[in-house]
Amino acid sequence: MAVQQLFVQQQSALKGFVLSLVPDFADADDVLQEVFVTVTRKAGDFELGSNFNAWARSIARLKVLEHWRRQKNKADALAEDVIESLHASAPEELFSPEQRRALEQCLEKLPASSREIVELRYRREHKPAEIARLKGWGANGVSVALSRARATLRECVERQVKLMEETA
Amino acid sequence: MNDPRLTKLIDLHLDGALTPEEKVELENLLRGSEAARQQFWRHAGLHHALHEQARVGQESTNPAASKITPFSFPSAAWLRLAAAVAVGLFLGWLLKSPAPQKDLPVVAGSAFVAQVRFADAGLVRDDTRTMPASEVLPVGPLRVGPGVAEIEFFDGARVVVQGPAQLDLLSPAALVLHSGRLSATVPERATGFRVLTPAGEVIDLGTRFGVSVDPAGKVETHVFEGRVDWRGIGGQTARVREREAISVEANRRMQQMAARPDTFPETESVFEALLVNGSFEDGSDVQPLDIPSRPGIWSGDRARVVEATLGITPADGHRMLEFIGTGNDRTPPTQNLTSSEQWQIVDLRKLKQEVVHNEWVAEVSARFNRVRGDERTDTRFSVGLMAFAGDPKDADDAWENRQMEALARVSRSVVTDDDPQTWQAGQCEMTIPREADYLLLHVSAVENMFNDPDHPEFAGHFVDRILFKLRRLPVPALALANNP
Repeated sequence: MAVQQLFVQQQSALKGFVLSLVPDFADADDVLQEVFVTVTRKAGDFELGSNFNAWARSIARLKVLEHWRRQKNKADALAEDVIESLHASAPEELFSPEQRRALEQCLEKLPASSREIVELRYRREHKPAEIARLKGWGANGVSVALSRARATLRECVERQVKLMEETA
Repeated sequence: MNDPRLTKLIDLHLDGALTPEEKVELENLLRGSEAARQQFWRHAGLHHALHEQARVGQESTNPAASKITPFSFPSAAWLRLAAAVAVGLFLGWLLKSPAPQKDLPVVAGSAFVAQVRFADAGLVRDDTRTMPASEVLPVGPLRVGPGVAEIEFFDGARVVVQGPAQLDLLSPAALVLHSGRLSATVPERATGFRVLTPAGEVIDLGTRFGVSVDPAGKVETHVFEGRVDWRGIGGQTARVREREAISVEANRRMQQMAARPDTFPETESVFEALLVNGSFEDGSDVQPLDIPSRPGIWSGDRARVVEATLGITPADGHRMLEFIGTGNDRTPPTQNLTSSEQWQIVDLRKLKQEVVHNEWVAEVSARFNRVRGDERTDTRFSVGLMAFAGDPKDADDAWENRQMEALARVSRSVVTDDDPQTWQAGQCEMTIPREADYLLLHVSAVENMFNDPDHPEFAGHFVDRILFKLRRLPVPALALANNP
């Protein structure tokens, strides 16, 4: 299988990795695009059969570091040594297909107020400060609401996955 | 298992909302333990999944978002790469798209998707093969040298590319512009035509527009007619209307400005209404006055407009022209002529003022037919063009001195069969010299079998359905003409 096809398959996982270290959604897309260009350019270096994800992720790590070196505003940038150690301990898969299925169900069960805040954050891609302005809340209120929604979802996903494993 | 303080800090990080102090605190926690790092990844996994899920939800009405057809790549390695870049871009867009309206415009590798209409620049496929006009083009990369090339997509969009440019044909309705500039003319049936660029995609909403990608990655979209949607890779969207333009820099800043049609190449233009009464349907007869002195009338040797006669039905409509004799009342009786000719002037002067002049090509075609007759019945006809400079009222003189004065001449002979049921077509084309002000178009019947001394010289010889058109070939951007 060609490296490019592997990239297409692994794009979601790589995006997750990049997004964790470059929280701005649009910036993360840019970095991912750079990863893609580098992966295709270096396709010859990749040995088919070896771990593509690990290879591409190491390229992604370099692109994340380059991204932050270029940025003037480094407020969201984790220290380089932290990025390196996070890279070293990143799991093969950030979120499993079972977890994704569970998340779908859990989102439906989410109370309306939490769902709205999740929508604003993830679908509309608003930052907490913007959500605060939109809702007329304090910034802290938004962070708390988001954290609560995520905690609810995490617990729900965990429960659902366990349930799926038991019934399977 | 989850440290609540760490959870809060990770959430703040993922939301881009850490204070400097909180950031230091988070970094120290992450440096400190593998468990903290595992917790980070668990939270990050949910964060990313929520982001993807939100977008999937958004696109639930669109089957394309979840149905990405795998490519089957042709063999050249760099073609794979270029095509894969396109796939990568596509995926980026799909994840970003607020609501794609059409299926993902990707087709399998070997499919033919377009045809070359014109190429004065080298139009090169697979890095080796130069594609001349009328070649059909499969999915894959194309390079355009300095000059212009025009491509017609099978879904109907016409795209003129000004080189140097790199592009990828993706489907009968989509291409990637990696660099260079193009103009697209999209007929209604091809609405939805897409131009993908490194910064986003342009989706046609029934229009004429231009797209450019400069070496720094800046993408400009100019709308000349109708409107288009812009969907940036960064997620920003814009509807660009007539006479508006947007520019998206590599850093994704979008700027609005006025459209500049002169910075884009123009597609081929065709002008068809320049010949008057080409099928002799308007009821007027032809003038027996030699070369006409004004545009819009047929004039020449003895001939008449007739309806179906002698077993011959008009090729078009109810009427056709019958050639009767060589010469007319003005012809000195001593002059022995062997062809019966009809002329019409096509005036180019107004057109030259109004339309950007580049290279013009004139095309004329005519249908001929005759009675079966006998061995003395003539069989040959001809159709042709001459180009002259000056005032059409002097066409008579110009024609007399045609050996010297004609800027260009073409003529084509047609030998007809002896079946009155069938019409034979003759056609020719001419590149019009820049200095030309008018054309003289002619059709004629030729005494090739027997030069009759008396009338009637022709026993049943007809012409009908004379079609004339001018094609203005694609033009490079005017504003860039002096500094390519």
